Amino acid sequence: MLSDIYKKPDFKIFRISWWNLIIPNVIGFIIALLSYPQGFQSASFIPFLVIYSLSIGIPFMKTYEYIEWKLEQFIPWLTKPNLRFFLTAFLEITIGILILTAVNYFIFIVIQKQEINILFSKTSEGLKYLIIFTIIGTILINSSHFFKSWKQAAVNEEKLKREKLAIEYEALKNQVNPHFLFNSLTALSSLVYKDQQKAVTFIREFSNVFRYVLESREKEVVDFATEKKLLQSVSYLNQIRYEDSLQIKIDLSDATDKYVIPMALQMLLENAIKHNSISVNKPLKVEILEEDGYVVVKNNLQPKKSEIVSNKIGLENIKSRYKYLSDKDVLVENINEEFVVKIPVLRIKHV
Amino acid sequence: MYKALIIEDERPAAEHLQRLINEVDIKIDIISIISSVDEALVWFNNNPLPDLIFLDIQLSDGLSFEIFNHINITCPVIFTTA
Repeated sequence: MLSDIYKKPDFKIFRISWWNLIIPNVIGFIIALLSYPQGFQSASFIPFLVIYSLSIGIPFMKTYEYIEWKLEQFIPWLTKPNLRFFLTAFLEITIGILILTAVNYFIFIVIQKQEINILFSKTSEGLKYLIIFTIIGTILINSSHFFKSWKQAAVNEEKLKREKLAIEYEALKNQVNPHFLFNSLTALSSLVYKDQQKAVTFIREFSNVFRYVLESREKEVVDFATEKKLLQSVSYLNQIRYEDSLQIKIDLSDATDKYVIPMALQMLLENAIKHNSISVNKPLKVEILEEDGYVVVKNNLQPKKSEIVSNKIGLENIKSRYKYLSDKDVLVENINEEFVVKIPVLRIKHV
Repeated sequence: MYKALIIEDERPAAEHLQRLINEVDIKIDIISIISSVDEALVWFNNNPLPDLIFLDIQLSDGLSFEIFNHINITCPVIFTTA
């Protein structure tokens, strides 16, 4: 989130803001009052001070902005604060010395035609203040950035929590939905007569689904291996109910370093079953696979005749949760009689 | 013998219902099990009405109420749904 604050559009090297005009003058006056108060007796001192302050301050502030923006791309404050602080201070002070020397040379040697020795004394005197103000400035500016990003992170976390609760609620609702329970139990009682072994498996898979919901409730993300087990259980239950009319293919690896958000894939699978016509003549084919950094859920589109009431919570919720967790968006495509949802694979960076 | 028709999209559920019906009354003959609206429309167009219909509401291709828009059903209907 911190990188948002250093976005490029805010930065224009040739655009002078009122900050660029005011700050150098304020600092210039403070330094003059501290080190050379007798100068104010001369009438030409104030215009000189303004010109001197601006000719050092503007290039300095502009290069400062540029360096901050550039460094943020390679050494963000968030991950490497110490290195960043020293690098910023080092670069600023080096550049400050160059600007200071150049301006002093031009004003005192070229214009006022003073001796070359004066250049070193003026520059070393300026350097003292340069170091102090650079360090104070860096600390002030970046602590305000830190504060902003911290606030942003807190807001995002709150939003994420809310979205998570909503999807958890949706998933739980699906599972304890009387319709789902009734249909599953009906299928089970039929199995008990026909095939006891299958009935036992059915009960086991059924309880797996509930255990997963319980376990993943607390989690932000779940790994592929866990998610795959759930999908297999869910598809087993549906397979028993719909038999050959439903064909589910799960082609995910058992990776434990790749993640998705909990209950998302299950919800997409259940959505496909809910919204499409399923029959022996026109079986519904759902495929779940990994492809180019996405988990893809696709099915052949054969909408039911009567419109199914949909609150659209499921898909929208998945989309908005991914906004916080990934740079990539959830993609929904509806092409060639196929409905495809692509969910970015999450990888956890250990900072 | 009563002729009964089951319209239900999940086969295990249909089989379960069939078993229950037979337990209750062996004089009921399940003449067919149908799983979708489309299939039902075809069946009604080619067969006389049964004596009784066991009708699920959510069928594999839509709501079973759709059938009533096309077929004039005069026999008793028992809705079987969760």
